[in-house]
Amino acid sequence: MTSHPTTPTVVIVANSKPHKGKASRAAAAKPKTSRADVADERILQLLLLLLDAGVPMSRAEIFERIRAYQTKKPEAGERKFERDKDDLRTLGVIIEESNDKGDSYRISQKGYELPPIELDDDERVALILAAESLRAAEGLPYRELAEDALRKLSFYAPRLNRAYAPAQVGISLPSREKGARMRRTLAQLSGAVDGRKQVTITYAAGNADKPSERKVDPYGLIYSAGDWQLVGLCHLRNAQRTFRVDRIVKLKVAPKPGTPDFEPPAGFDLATYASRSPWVFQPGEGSATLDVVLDVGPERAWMAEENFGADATVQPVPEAEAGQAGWVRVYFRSGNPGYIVTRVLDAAGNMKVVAPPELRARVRQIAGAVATACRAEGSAP
Amino acid sequence: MKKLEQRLRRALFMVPYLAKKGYAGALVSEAAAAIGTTPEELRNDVHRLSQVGVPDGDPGQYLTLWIEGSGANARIGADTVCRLKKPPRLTLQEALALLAGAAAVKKTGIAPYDEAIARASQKLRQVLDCNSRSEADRGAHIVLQTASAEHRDTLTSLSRACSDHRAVELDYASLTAQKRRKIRVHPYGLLNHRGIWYVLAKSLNDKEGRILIFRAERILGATVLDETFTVPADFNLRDYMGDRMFITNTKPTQIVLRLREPAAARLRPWFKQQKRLRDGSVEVKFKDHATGYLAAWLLRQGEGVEVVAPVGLQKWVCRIAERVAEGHG
Repeated sequence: MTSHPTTPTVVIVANSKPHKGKASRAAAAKPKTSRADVADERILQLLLLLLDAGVPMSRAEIFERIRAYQTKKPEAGERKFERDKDDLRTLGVIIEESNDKGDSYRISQKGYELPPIELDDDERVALILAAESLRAAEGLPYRELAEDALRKLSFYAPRLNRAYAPAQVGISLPSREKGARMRRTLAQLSGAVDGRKQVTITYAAGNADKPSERKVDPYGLIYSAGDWQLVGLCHLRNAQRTFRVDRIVKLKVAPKPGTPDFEPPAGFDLATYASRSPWVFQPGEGSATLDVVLDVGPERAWMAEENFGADATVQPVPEAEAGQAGWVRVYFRSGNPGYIVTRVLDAAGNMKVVAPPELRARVRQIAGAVATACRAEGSAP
Repeated sequence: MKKLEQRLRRALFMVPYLAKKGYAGALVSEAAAAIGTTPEELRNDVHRLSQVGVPDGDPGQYLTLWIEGSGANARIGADTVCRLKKPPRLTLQEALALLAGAAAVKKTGIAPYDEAIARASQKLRQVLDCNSRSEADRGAHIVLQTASAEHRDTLTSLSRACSDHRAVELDYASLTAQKRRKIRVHPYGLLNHRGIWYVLAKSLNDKEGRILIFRAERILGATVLDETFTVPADFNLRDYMGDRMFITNTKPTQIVLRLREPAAARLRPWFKQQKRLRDGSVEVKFKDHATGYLAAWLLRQGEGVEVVAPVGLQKWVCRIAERVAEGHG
């Protein structure tokens, strides 16, 4: 068989009858062949045949060499062949098709093989970190795909796996919502995003009494602070919307997986969309834009460095006015007053609304009500 | 990913990996780890691939694989005549997956990886075929937010201090204690948890010298000192990953809240132990640390949340609520 120098105790030779003796033990131990096994074998046969030919092969020649395509009903063999080509393409194999003299197919060695890639140590670690960031994405095919990609690249750049992750930097992005339902939903959504398939969701919005059904053209998925969000065109509102994936009660993907239902708008960039600052964006229709002035104390200095939009300005507040050194004043425009109130309350007195007056009054009213309730609770018998 | 696809992916990597190993092959356990499977699965793959080939084909049209020996010393190899001498190209989806991960890490300014990620991403694009390259330039369909770029400088200097094993003095705004203080630390590592960067460091201010977790955005200043340190041999940053991140040694206390509308509808699903009271409010009980952080969180929930116990937490919420109301008077 091979030019292997030692005498193997188990030898498996593909494409031949099992050898007698030691090799036949291997054949005897072989697991039962399933339909998936047959498909595996057929797809690899097709790949090896076309790679070895190097020149275009006609459909008739391929069907003659691979018996699995010689079915009683010719259309069944045709369907298998089409499926196998699709599966090979999914695996990264480029199949050139030409229709000059009947259908012919070619896989070139150069087109098939991963070109060499040279990575220095920092680049290698950077890619390991990139894959690590995806590891928490349970249910997303991206997780396995990133591992597969690293494995392929490791063919030329060894030490490209998690064992060589840097000792002093780690990335962990677990989802708050665990469980099979979430994994299934994410997997379906990611398939719909990739295939540009419309989805119908039953969504339990945080501010709604009961779930509503919506048709959505899914543009992408965003992971942010432990939550997964779906971004897409909501046909109910006829506008772009963001949906928390854990609030999707039911999900149905439109039929015909190979046929896209929509095109995302030209110029839509998910990364830009994801980086919108909650200080400034308008969460929904009907929310007006306000001119906001916020004072930020030295104990929350980092908050003044957050993204208040491109037009924001920051100035120091005179000590005489603030009563303490180190306060700064931020001027910006916002369409999200609810978020501002939440952050100001959370800052426990280290952030103050200066303007507009209605927002200032809203913070005062909530904080006053909480203080009153606490005092009443404390004095209760 | 379908099982069939997984197996084919594995096969297309396994054959060139083994062929590259030459006549000596590799240990089954070593090959299984490199291929990303178990030794049993690998053996099954070899058995399955023994069926593969084109009848009466040329040598390049079939696969020849071998396993010899048994137990820990079992070796596996492939004949080098086969056409599958290198793995297939990266698919668009594989490249997009890595690029999405790379983009998430790139924004954070973790030196020296920020530049390295940009270079690696560029190289990834180069190994794609032309069609996939232009598709990849359109960007990934999934965005992972790991951090904003606002704390780049702090993260960069802390990352260098971790690598160089240099002590650091932190100017830290603690939300737990609700005050700002200087803390000398030995930084052991940086961990991004749910998109937020934390520094894991041994605190020299702490009497027991514990490893504490500092949120990077609350580090208002970081001065790298001349003092150097050695990271304990048993420290492993990855032990802190996932939900183990916030498991502390201190005992949490019983917290009792009374929820009224509008907060009740929003917050009730968060708590397992709850009881509806006669006045329509809902009493919830849970265990947590009664810190300033929790007090500020409770105030953030707005009207409809009252602290019943412990009294210390109730007073804390009352005090900061009064302070906020006064500041807006």
